[in-house]
Amino acid sequence: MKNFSEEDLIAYHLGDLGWWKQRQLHSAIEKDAALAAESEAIAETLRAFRGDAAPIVDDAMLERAWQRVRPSLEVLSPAPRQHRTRTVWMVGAGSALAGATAVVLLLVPFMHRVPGTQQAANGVQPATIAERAHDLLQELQGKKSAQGNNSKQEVAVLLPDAVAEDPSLAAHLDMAERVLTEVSHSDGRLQPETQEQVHRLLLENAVYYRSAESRGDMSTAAVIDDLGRVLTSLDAEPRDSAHDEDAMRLQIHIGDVLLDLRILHHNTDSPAATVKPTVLPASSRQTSF
Amino acid sequence: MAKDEQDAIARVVAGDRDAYRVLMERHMPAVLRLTLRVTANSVDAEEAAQEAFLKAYKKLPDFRREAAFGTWVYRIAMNCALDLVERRNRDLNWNAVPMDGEPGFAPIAESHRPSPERELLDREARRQREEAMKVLTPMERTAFVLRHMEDQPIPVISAALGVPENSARQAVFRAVGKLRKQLSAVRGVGRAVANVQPQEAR
Repeated sequence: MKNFSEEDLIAYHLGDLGWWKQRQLHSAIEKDAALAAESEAIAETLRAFRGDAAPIVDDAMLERAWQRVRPSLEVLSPAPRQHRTRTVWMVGAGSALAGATAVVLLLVPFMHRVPGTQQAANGVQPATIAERAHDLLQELQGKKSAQGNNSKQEVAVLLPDAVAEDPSLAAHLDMAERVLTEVSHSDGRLQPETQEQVHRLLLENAVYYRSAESRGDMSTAAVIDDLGRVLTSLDAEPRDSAHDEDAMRLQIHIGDVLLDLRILHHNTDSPAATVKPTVLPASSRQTSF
Repeated sequence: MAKDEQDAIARVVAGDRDAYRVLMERHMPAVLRLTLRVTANSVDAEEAAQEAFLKAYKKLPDFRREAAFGTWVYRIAMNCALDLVERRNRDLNWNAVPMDGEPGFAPIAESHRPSPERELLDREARRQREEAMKVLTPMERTAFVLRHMEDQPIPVISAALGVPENSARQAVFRAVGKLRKQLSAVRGVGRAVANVQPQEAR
């Protein structure tokens, strides 16, 4: 019979499984008592968080909210947005095109000095940061794929439980993921608020790095160190040109890989092994990268 | 979207600030329910809800009229609530009124009036749930609340929280795993106490 994980069971109870898998799991639960017990435990947990009554918002509360919000409401005026947007867009596009042309012209004489890279083949000189980022990305992906065909399951048990055991580290990595995702979806310079978040994350990251290193947890330290590199670049470099953006995009990809590893790592905290013990051999817990 | 809402938005964009009150009154209950569940205290819930309406107001000129204002402000509120929880987590001096604490929770009444015994049991259950929720990161808590309590689909949650869908999904999984562990520990202690007491009485 097909093995189902705790995640499958959670998705089943939340209605997030596809129709076919939902049906398969339903029939597996009916046949397998252990799986049924596991399923019931999850359902019980979810039921416990269903019972909250909805709050009623009374007139006094609404009045209070309105009185607090109203002084901050500026009078809006219907500006000729389309015209303004088009003008800004045209000026921006023109500047970007001119900038990109200038960068390409400046880099053409140096292209032949970086043989063998994809970027050189495409006629774009890779930044030092971009090269480093690319190498790191390759290295990380190599490590993931080296875990074998069933890499998702195995990476999950190879990593230590440090993140699961430290809520502040978990929150730090969650926030880092949010900020990096926001950066990867925005253009131009970082907003001051985001810049501040990056800076704060960077400072905190150093603490978590030292903490992991001092307790000899080198795999966690390596992950945090890589995250630190991305944060350092974001903190230090204004994203003025397409050149910088390329470097940044690569680094954010690294962040995604790192955070995927963290998410997999979190799964080690789940009691999935009780559902499918054969998938998680205890001996592989001794290995780390 | 209802015509009176469209009218209100048109008036606000044309410079009539007070027309915004119509939108706030209509959508505040849903937004406040959400922020209360995410922040777990009434003071923060009100703050996050107000912040959401303020942000929505500032972006109103860019709002696509064919979309539903309620859905839009609700999604903004998801993000505001998470941001607030993260800020509070960093600010160790912050000591907000908890969800089950009497003084601050009073203004937001609940929609039923149970018996005193039921109220006591409810309060204890709520305390246990809040204790369990404390082990979650702000992201996990928000994702869990949105998915399970507010019935929001993963794509909506991921868009509102600004993370990939897989991250939002994993945050929900982690949250359920952690809550299960926490609750089973509490129940385990409860059962152990219940088993020990009769023997001691003998």
